[in-house]
Amino acid sequence: MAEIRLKGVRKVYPGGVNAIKGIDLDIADGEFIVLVGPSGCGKSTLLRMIAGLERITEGDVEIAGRRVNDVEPADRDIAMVFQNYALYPHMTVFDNMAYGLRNRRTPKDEIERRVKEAADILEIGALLTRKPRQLSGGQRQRVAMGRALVRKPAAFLFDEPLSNLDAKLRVQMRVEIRNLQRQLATTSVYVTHDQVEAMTMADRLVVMNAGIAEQIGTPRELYQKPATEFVAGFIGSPAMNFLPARATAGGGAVELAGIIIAAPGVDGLAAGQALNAGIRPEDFRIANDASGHGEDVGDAPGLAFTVELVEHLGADTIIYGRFPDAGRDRLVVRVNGDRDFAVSSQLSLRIPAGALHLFDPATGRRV
Amino acid sequence: MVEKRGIGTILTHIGLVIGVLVITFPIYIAFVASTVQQADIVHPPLPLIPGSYLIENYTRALTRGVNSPVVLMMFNSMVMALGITIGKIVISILSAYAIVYFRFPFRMAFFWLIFVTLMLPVEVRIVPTYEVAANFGLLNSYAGLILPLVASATATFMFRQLFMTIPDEMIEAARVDGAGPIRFFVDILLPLSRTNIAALFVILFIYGWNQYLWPLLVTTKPEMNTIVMGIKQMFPSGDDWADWPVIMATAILAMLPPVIVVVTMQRLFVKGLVESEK
Repeated sequence: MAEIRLKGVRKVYPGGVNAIKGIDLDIADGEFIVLVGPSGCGKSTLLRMIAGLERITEGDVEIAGRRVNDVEPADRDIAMVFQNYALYPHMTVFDNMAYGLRNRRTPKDEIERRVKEAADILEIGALLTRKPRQLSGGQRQRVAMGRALVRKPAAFLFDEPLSNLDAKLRVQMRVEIRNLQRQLATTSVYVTHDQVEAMTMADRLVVMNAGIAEQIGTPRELYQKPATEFVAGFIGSPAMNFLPARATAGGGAVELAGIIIAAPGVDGLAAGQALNAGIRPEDFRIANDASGHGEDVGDAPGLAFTVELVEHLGADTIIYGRFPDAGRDRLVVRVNGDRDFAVSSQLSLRIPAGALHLFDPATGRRV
Repeated sequence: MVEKRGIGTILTHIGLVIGVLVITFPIYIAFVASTVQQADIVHPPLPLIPGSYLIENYTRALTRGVNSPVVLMMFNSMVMALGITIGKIVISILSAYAIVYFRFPFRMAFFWLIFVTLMLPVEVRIVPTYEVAANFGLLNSYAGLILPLVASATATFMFRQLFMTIPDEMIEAARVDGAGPIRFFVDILLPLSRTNIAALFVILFIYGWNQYLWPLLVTTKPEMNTIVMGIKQMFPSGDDWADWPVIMATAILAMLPPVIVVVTMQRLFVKGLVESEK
C-alpha cells in the first residue's frame, strides 16, 4: 500500500536519445494508473524506471514517500508482471512463485501459506507442481500474476501483460486483474498500447507521446475533453475525424466545409483563425432522407457525404466516405447497426452543436 | 516423418548394417587380438575368432603393462580428462557470464581476444607452451597435463551464445525477485545451461582423454604416462618384439571410458545440441 510520485522524471539514453522528457505524476494509494501510447512513446521506459530496471537520468521517483532513485528493484517493494511472463523455465509453478520470497529469507511455512493463498485466488492450485512449458498462455499469465501476488508488494507494475493472449482470454484476464486489484487495493501501474484495455481498467490514464505525458485524467475526461489533438486521435475507436475549420467573427461557432457549426464556449479567437476540428465518428447525425430513414435533426445545415465503404459490426455500422468539398481525407461515421447503406449513395450528415473538438493546428492544443 | 515401407526399408537397413560392419571391424580385430596369444597374432592368417586368453591378457595389461601398469595410465588419463573437462566448463561458463552480463572496460576486446585463440591450435603454440610449463616446473605433474589445456574459446563462445538467448525479462524478473549476480548465476543460469554443460562434458571429456601430443611432451616418467600416448610408448624401439595382446588390450581399455561417457550422457548430449529449453 503506497503512493508513487514522479517528479520531473527524465531519461536520456547514452547516445543522446531523449526517451522521457520530464514527467510529473502523483499516483494515489490503491489507484490503478494506465500508461498508454503508441510504440516508442516511452511508456515502458517510464514503468521500468519506477521498477528500478532503468536508471533515472534526472528527477525523482518516490514510493511510499521514500526516494528510490538508487534503490535496487528488489528493495523497492514492488512486483512486476512482464509481457512474456518471464517465468523461470526450469522451476515448477510453486518454485516460480516462491523464488522471490526465498531470496528474502521468508520462513518456509510462510512461503507455503502465501503461495497456496495466491494460487487459490488465481485458481492455479492444481498446477503448482507443473513446469511453465506445460502450461497454456493464460495459465502462464496467472502464474506470473501469482509471482507478483505472493510478495504482497506496495505496488504492482504491469508491462503489457495481456498482449500475448488471444482476444477472448485478454478480455477475461482484463476483468480479473481489475477485480483483483480492487480487492487488494494495491497501487498499480499498467502499461499497454491497447486503448480498450486502457479505458476499461484505468482509474486514471496517462496518454504518452514521444516522451511526454500528453494528458493525465480519468477515461471519461480523456474521451470527452481531450487536451491535445494527439489524445483526441488516440482515444476512441474508430479514431476521431479531423477537418480543417475557421473561427468565425464573433466567436461561439466555426466555419467548416462551407457551413457554420455552433461551438459553444469557443471564444476569443481571431476571426478566420485556422483550426483543426475533430469530430468523433459516433457524433455525426444522419438527416432524414427522402424515404424517411435517419433522424430528425432540425434545420441545421447538412453536409453532403458520399458513402465509399460500409462495415457491419453487428451492433454498429461503420461508414467510410468523403465530403465532396472538404479535403481529401476519408471520414469515418459510426451509426447504429439497424440500417443499410448503399455504397456511393449520398447522405446528409449533421454535426450537433458542441460535438466539435477544436485544436490549434500550430500547437495541437485544445482551444 | 513419413515412414518408408517394404524394399526401401530393407535396402536402407542393409546399407546401415554394412556401414556399421566396416566401422566396427578394426575394433573387432583389436578385440580378438587382445584375447589370443602373441604367437597367434604373428602367424598369418590373422585370427578372427576370440581366443581364450582374455582374462590373462587384460590382467597382465592392467597390472604390469609394458612400461607401467595400464591401471595407472588410466588413472592419469582420467585425472587429466576430468581436470580439463571440469576446468574448461567452469572457466568458460564464468567468463561467458562476465562477458554477457557485466559491463566492464574492454569487454568486447576480451571477448575477441578469447575468440581469436580459436584459431591457434595446441600444435601451433606447443613450443612456447612447453617452455612456460617447464619454467613453472610443471613437467611430469598433473598440473602440467591439465593447466595448458584448460581454457576453451569454443566453450566460452557456446555459453555466450546460450546466455544471449535468455530473455532480458527473465534477468529483470530475477532482479525484482531479489536475486543478486551470484544467486542469478546459481539459481537461473546454471540450471538453464544444464543440457549444454552435459553436451560439453561429453565433447571435452573425449577431447581431454584423447590428448596425445601434449602428454607426450610434458611427461617423461612412465608413471605419469596417459593411456593414449602410453599405447605408443608400448611399441618397441629397435629389435624388441611388440607384446601385441597387451597392446591391443590396452587399446580396448583406452576406448572404454569415452564410450561409457557417451552412452550414459547420450540423452542429455543430444538434448543439449538440438533443444534449448526456454
